[in-house]
Amino acid sequence: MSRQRLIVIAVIAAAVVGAGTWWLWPKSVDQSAAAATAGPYLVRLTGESPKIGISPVTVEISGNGDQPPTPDTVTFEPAMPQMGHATTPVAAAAQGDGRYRADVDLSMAGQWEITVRIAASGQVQEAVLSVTTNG
Amino acid sequence: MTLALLIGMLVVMTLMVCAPARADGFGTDADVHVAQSLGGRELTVTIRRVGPVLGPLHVDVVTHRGDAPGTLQLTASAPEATTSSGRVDLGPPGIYSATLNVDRAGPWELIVDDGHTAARIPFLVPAQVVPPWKKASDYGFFAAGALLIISLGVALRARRNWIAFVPATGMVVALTVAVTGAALSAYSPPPPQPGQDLDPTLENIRDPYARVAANSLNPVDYSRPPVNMAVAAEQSTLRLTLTDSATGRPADDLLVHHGALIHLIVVSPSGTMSHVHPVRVAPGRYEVQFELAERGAYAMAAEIARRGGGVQLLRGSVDGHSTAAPPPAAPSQGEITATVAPAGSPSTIRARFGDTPDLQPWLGMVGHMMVVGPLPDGPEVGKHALTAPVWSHAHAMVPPAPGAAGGQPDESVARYGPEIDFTYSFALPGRYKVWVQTERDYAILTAPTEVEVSQ
Repeated sequence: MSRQRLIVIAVIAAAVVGAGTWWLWPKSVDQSAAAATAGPYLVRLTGESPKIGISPVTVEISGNGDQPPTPDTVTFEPAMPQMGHATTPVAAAAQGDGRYRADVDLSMAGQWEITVRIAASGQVQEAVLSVTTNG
Repeated sequence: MTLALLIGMLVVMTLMVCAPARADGFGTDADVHVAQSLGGRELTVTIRRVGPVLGPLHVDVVTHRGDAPGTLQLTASAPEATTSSGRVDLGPPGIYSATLNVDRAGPWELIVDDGHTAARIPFLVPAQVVPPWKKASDYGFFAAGALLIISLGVALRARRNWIAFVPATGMVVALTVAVTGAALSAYSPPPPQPGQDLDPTLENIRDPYARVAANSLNPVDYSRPPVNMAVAAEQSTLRLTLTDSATGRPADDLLVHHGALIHLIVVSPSGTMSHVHPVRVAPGRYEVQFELAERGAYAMAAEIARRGGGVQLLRGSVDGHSTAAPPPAAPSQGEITATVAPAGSPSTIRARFGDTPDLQPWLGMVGHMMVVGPLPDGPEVGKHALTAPVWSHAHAMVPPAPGAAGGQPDESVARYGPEIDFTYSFALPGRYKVWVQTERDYAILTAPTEVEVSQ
């Protein structure tokens, strides 16, 4: 194989690899894709977008400024405003580090809103998170 | 070689012929004008054109005649974004401005606080969005150019001719992709609009095309169920609670239509009309200061538009328990001449406000006409208005100005009227109450009349 041909192949290979890397380079994932404030709390959806059907949903509850009281109960209330239907609210289980997880019934593809109801020392705060089911 | 040159020329010509594909920002591309009856003031809050470029956010507050001087605290806030505040000191009627700052795309709230009530106006800060066909076109032309150079080099250097065809074929493929992308971009449907069709999130504002593929398989009707409205009167405040009729959850997806989130028309027991714009204090909860100065039934209708399209009319009522004598009716601020056709045929209603053509658009329109009826003769207009089948709100549009740009004229444009014409078909025979509203010198003018429609 001649040297010139090697150079040509190397150049083409470099171009292909460069273009591929450019296309496939991981884009920075924004952590705050679904976040809402509820009184003294900041509620953020963590993990992957939920799937259609009964799907685990985890939220991270932190302070919106000062340190708020630890929630007594956290409930997820799913509803689909576009279709006008809601599904059964579920109590979320504390996972530590301000994380709460529950399996919610998101029975259709599309945009859902999950109202996260936080009860702490007699006070109730609500944060509405918008999530889109996929799959 | 000749082939390569020809293709090179084709690339240049295609680039010159194809109109540049747009890189639009989604969300609010125009000014947001929203009327707010906050405290005793009738304000118009204008959030000036928010582009995909982050930075200063210009907010104008228009006050009207009768609005008290004072201070408003303006705050722009979004979850996990830097909150920005400013204040405006209100004086005589006119336009007062403040500049806030937005540092992130996504759904935001503008909080207008007069010290007693905080009105929370939702708005969107769009993101710079590159449509996928624009990306295909850009990357395709880039790849075609690179492959053209490679194929030229290979054609000159390689000993065997066929080797040059490898990058040349790649170039033709890249060019096909690029030209197809550029040609299709003008005809491709826009994605569902965050805010208008979908609940806005940071995710769908940044990538509105993410759900296009799914929607093209299952065409989506974005319209939503009707809204139920409950009205309660407490110490000169009307509290409206809006809930979704299908789920009972708060309806917090109202769009700004005709310059307000809610247009509330109230007809008092004696037949005085008020047109106010309740402020959003919490999701699904709206308030307006309103003195129930008369005894009897107040009839009201709220016009709202939900996300997904369609305007709804929600009827409601409250009872006034005032023991004081009702205030005297305000004098008419204009003259109405009605040429009334029989029921079902178009009638012409002409309102004249003074003699000078210097009316200002209020809520984006030169004139507003409210029609309630048919009503029987006698007192207790509010009670009868409650069950009246017709509640209408017609508009006299701002005439188009040749060469005008930048959306609807704001209230600083005083060049309309003094006559305002409406064409309206009274659907049923009987007696109707009609009110026409416009604005001059930052004062909202109202002219009432009654018309009798024959069979």
